[in-house]
Amino acid sequence: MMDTPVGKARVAASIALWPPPRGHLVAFLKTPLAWVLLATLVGFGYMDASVRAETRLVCGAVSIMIDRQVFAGAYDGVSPTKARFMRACEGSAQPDTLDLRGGLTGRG
Amino acid sequence: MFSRWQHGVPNGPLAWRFAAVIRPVHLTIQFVVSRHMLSWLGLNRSFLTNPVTLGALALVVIAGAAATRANMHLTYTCGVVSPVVVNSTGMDGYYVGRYERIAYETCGRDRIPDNYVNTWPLADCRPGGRAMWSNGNLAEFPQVCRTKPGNVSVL
Repeated sequence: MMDTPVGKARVAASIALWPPPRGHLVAFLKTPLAWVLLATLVGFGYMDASVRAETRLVCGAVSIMIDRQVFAGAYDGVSPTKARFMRACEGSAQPDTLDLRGGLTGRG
Repeated sequence: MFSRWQHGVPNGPLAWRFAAVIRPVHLTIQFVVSRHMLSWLGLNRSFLTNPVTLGALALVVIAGAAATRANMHLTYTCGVVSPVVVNSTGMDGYYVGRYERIAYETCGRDRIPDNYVNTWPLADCRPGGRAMWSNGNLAEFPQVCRTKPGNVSVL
């Protein structure tokens, strides 16, 4: 199979496409636009991480607030607004005292 | 001796000074609008057909989309959080703590909806501080600024 011209052509094509030859990487890094692209990539990564951290902070702060209010007796269940908040904060901190299915967990 | 500006162009020290300033500017503009600038930056056929460029470009697009989505999600979360925080202030037994201020400052006034931005409850935990609204008016509910960690030693 490998000795046939078709097999050789297939092997040659796969070598040419992946992994990219070292020359491509060097040529890419030699251009200023490449560094602009890399800086943009790092900037987007930083922005994504910082915004996600802020989201986690907001969810955590409001979850603790809700837990304390439940403990103080100000809240007694999950209203539609609180359910929306808990769905928005899925994957982040959640109130320990409230259950998304509609009631108190009893852990307060 | 004839100067370069002899034919129809005013001659003299001022004209030479003007030429000395304008010539580099003109050359710079010519460089920017010409293909040399793009070529110097690397924007040519070999760069655009380089597989590493295409891969980097795809990564930039993906990272930009993820960052934009995270930004929109934070704005949505702040909008959803606002009625939970603000509407609870009228309930019996309500008190304001430190966490309302953390949420308020993290979201910022830009992300909080307009109808909640001035009615957010805030605690002022400095000595002598009192509970207030985000518009600066004093609030009628109490504030609790707990500084003691609780019965941690039992745990």
